[in-house]
Formats: sequence, C-alpha cells, structure tokens
Amino acid sequence: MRATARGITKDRISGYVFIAPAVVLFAIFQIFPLFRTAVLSFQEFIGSTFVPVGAKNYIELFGDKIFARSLLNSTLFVAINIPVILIFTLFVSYRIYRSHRVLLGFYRIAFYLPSVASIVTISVVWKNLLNPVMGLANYVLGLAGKAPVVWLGQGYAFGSLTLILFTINVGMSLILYISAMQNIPTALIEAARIDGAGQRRVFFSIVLPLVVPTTLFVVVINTINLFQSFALVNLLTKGGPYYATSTIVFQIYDTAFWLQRYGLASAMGIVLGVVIAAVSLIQFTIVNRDVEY
Amino acid sequence: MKKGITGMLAILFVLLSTAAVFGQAAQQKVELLWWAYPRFSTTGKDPGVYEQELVDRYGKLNPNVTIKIETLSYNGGPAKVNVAIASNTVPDLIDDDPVRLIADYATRGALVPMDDVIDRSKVLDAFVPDSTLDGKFYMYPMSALPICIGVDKTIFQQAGALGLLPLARSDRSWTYDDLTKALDAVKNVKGVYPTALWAGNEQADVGMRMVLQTFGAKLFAPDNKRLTLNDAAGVKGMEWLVGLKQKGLIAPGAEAMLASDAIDLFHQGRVALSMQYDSSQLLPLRIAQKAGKAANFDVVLLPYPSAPGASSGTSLALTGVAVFKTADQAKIDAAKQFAKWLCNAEDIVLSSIGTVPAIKGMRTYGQTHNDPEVAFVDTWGGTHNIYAGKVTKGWAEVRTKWYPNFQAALTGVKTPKQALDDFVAAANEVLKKYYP
Repeated sequence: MRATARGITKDRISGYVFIAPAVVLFAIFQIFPLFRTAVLSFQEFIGSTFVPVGAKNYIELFGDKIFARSLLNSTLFVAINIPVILIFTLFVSYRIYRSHRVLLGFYRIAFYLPSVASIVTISVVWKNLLNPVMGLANYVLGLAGKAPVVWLGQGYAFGSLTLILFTINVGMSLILYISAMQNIPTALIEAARIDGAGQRRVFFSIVLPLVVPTTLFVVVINTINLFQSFALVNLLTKGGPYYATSTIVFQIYDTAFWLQRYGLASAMGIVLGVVIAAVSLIQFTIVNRDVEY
Repeated sequence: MKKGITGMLAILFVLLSTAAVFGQAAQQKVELLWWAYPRFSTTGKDPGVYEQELVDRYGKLNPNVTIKIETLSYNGGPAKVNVAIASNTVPDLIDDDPVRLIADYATRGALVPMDDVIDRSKVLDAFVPDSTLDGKFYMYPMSALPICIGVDKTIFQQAGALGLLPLARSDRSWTYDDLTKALDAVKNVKGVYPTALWAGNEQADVGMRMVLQTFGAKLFAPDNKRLTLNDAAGVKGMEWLVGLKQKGLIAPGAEAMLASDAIDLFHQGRVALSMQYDSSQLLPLRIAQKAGKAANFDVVLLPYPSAPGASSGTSLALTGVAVFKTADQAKIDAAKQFAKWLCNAEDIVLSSIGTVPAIKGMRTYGQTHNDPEVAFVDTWGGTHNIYAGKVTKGWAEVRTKWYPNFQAALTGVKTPKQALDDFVAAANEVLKKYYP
C-alpha cells in the first residue's frame, strides 16, 4: 500500500517536473502581465513614475464617448462578421469538401493565404486598391461611369474594414469546417441519400449538427480575434474618420503609447477582457447545449 | 635604509601611475546608443547610411567612444520612445524636433539640461525659445526648415495660369484670394487635382494650422497656456479649408489622407499645389529627377498667403539633438559632446533636413550649394512673418485632438466653427493638466 502511495507520489512529482517549464513560461508571459495590467489600471503614469489613483481610470472610462464609440465599433465588427463568416464558410466548405484533393488544396491555399500573410502587406495592398485617386476600385468604377468613392472615408470606411476583416478571418474557419466535414462518416450521408434526403436535407439534418463543436470553436476564436482588431485599423484609418473605425484595442494603443496614459489604457484592457469573457460565455452556453462529442 | 624607502616610493609611484592611466582609459571607453530619425534625407542616402558615416568620422576623432545607431520611423518612433521612457530603457541620445523633445520628453524630466555644452550667445535668438524649458537648454539646436507651399510650375504653365502665382513679387507675398484663383485656374487640367488636404493623422498638422494662423488667428493667449485658435480669423481659415472641398479643389479622401500621401500625389504630378512643402522634400526630389526616378517638373516654393498688404508667412521647423537622463554620467557627458560636434559642423548641419543652421556664423544650404530657390527661402526667417509651431507643455497630446475634429469638418459631421471650437476646448482640457 505504502509502495503504491510512493509510486503515485513519484508519478505526480515527475508529472509536475514535465509541466513545470510550460507553467513557468505561462506564469511569466501570461499571468504576470494580466496581474500587472490589473494593478496598472488603478495607477497613473505621472512624470516618470506610476502613482496610485484608485478607481479614477474606470470612472473616466465610463464617461469617455470615444471609448464608448470604440466599444460599439468593435462589437459591430463582431456582430456583422461572425454570422457572415459562419454562413459563408459553412456553405463554401459544404460545396468543396469532397472535391478532388488537388482542387481542394488550391481552395485551402486561396482562402487561407490572407490569414497567414503579414497584416502590413495586406494593409498596403488594400490601401492601394482603395486609394481614392489611383486605386483599382475607383478605376473599375470609372470604367462603369461611376463617380470615385472614398473607400476609407466618411460612410465607407467601416464597411471597407468589415470586408477586409472578413477576408482575413474566413480562411481559418474554412479549413476547420472542411476538416470537420471530412470526418463525418460517409455511411451516414449515404444512408440519408438512400432514404431520399436531398442536398439541403443532408446539410441541415446531418452535416450541420455534426459540426457544432467546430462551429463553437470558430465562433469563439473569431469573436476574440475580431474584438482584438488593431493592426488593420492602425495602418489604414487610424480609427477615422472621426472615430468611425476606432476599436478598443486601437484606443488602448493610442492611449498607452501616444498619450502615455498607461493606467487608463490598462483599465480599457481589463474592460475588453471582461467583455470578451462575457460574450464567449454566452456563446458557449448557447452553442454548447447541442454539442455531441 | 634610505635606499629601501626610495625604492618603495618609486614602486608605489609606478603602481599609482599605471593604475591612473588604466583607470583613465577604462573611464573613457564609452558606448552610446543613438536613436536617429531619417533627418539626413537631403544627402539622398538611405536612412542610417549617412549617420553611420558620421559615427565613423567621430570615432576617428574620439577612439574611446563607440556609437550604435538605431533608425526610427516617423510612424512608430514616438511610441517607441514613450515606451522606453516608461520602462527606463531610453537610448543615450536622439535627434528630433522640439514638439517632442521639449514639449514632451523634457517636460516629463526624461532629458538632461545641455547648458554646459551650449554657448547661448552662439545660438540664433529665434531658436532659443524652442530649445529651452524653464530657461534651460534641453535640445542642442541644429537647423531649421522654412515651411512653404510647393507649386508644380509645369502644370500652371500648361494651364496658362503661371501669372496667377506671385512669382514677380520680390517676397512672393500673396493673399488667399490669389491662391483660390490660382487653384481654380488648374481645376480643369485633366488628371490633376488643384491641391490636397490631409486629416488622416497628426503628422504635418502645421500645414493646416498655418492656414488658420495666416488668416490672422492667434494660436495662443498671451500667457501661452491656453489655445485661442478658434477666434473669428481662425474660423474664417477653417471655412476656407473646408470650402476647398465644397468647390471641388482638393483630391478626394482628405479625411483619410496622410500628409505623405498628399506629397506623393504632388510628386506624381496628380496635384498642382502642395499645401505644405519644404526644401527637405524638394532636394531629394531633385536627386530622384536627376537619376530618372521621378517625373521631370519644376517646383517653386511660395510662402503662405496673408491678408492684403501684410507680408506672407512661413513657419520655421527646428530640429536638434537631446540627451536622455540615464544612470551613467560618463555616457551623458560623451553624448553631449557628440551632440555638440554634430550641431557645430557646417557640412553636417547642412546635410540635415534643416537648411538654416541654428548656430551663428554658418552659411545656409542655399548659399553653400548655390541654389537660388532654396537660398531665397532660407532668407524668409528674416523677411517674412514667422508663425511658430509653439512648443508648450502638453503639445504632443494637444495635436491628437486636431485631426479627428478636422475630419469631422471635412465630412460635414461638424461645421467648421463647431469643429474648431471642439478642438480648442479639448486642447485646453489637456493644457489644464500642465497649467492648472
């Protein structure tokens, strides 16, 4: 009995030793910054030192119209993109997942390329395409006899960024759905077909329920990614015109690194973390009910 | 006995001398880090190349000092410096303009005073206020750049509108009516926009602000602690700017355009007149034109217009070198000496973007390079109204309030007056923190 206990203890110790490097790195690079951000959110950088200011940053934040606008923009990016990404990727994946492997490889590369390309490169390409004076988009409009459009200007900037964010985020979701659909036993689909089910019925009654775990993953990951939209905004619009495309993370960057208000920026970071956690929890609760593992 | 004492003293002397020599040598070995913006663009060399030549040259004169260069970009550089100040990882020295060096870094106590290496009597009086904070020099002033309007002479010639430019007047003075007529005259040139405005970010905001100031608006109240740019003249200036869009005289997309985009359009011959231009853009353009890398067209430089009868204006953009406060006094001293060397050698000063040296007794770029156009502009500091981009505490944050409000005015979200009022109100909120 004692020997067994010792054995268990030994196993435990060796287990802890194996996970120690990962735990230490996680603590240093994830837990500590999180803790430090929480502490900073109750301080302010004055002169060259951090001074405690209590809840002042949070109070200021909740009266800040620009932060409210940025929160709304971030939420809208999520609310618009998530359904569009889901519908598009489900539909396209269902159409192509049984294609010849060469063709399937081509689709995978084509859709996944924007996800792995440098965001700077993507921004430069889009900036040139959407240039109001010399861009391809307005050139095409000109050929059709239409007036040029300021794609990153008033009334269009938010839509343009939504479209670009869609192209960046759609690739990973598509790859995941293709894999999930390929894992569905062919016998199930064939049996349904024999029973007279059409394409639509097979999709809604067999494929869709069986890819719910993937849907949950796609929804949560894309929600987090979209809430954290920053580089594209910073490189293409700087949050303009007049805060029409400002996002929370862009405001965090601007507040911390340009205005030197690290405390206020940390408070924004904490609020963003809480918002993402709350939205993810809701998504888990709604989607998880029907998940079959 | 005597011999023994003498021998011991001799050994002691030799040991002390050796220690002193080695100690001195060890003390003199200094390694500096220089964060350099690409401010030597007039040389036509890639960023960092000319700076490395300078460091090599200085290293030959001072073998114990080694200097490492890290080039900063105008887009990301200020944020990098801010992070460095907050995390105590600043470099030893930096070259920049007073808007950041004096109004921001010195205000926050991140820089050391340089009065011990600057002879105040040698600095041109006009540049002392922008180099000092509370009476102390925190920036070694290097050179200044007169800010102008750039005109594509070739386009105006083709449109038969050259006579509308004030080229015949000795000081090239003109009014906003003259400017509006000139822009109207090139409105119908195919593929060309008369001018471009920019509100994409805070960079080169001086060009837009100069319009308001040359309409007669006062940037600050007399105590320099409160903005007053939204006076009646300022509103007129803002209305003129926004009116350009309504009259179809600007390239589309001003609300999202950056100053660099506008300059690119000007260099590509798509815009006839650049609302902010200077020699630091003209000289590299000429180098590119000579190398066949840019279209061939003539550029003339004009001052900002003014009210009828008044002398037209310019703004002198000063640049200089500052030394960060670090724990190593030897490094601080060595960095100051390097800054002094940089700012007192005429050939180095005239390779920077400024064409007018800040130290007395040096010739201007136009004089040394026998360049009549640049030489003419170099004299504006003495002949034209100087509208300073005031360096005041909190200015770095004040600037961030300008472009969202200008965007709102350009897009019709706010009237010009409302946008200007909102900018001034937000700016004064910021200034309250520094001048309660």
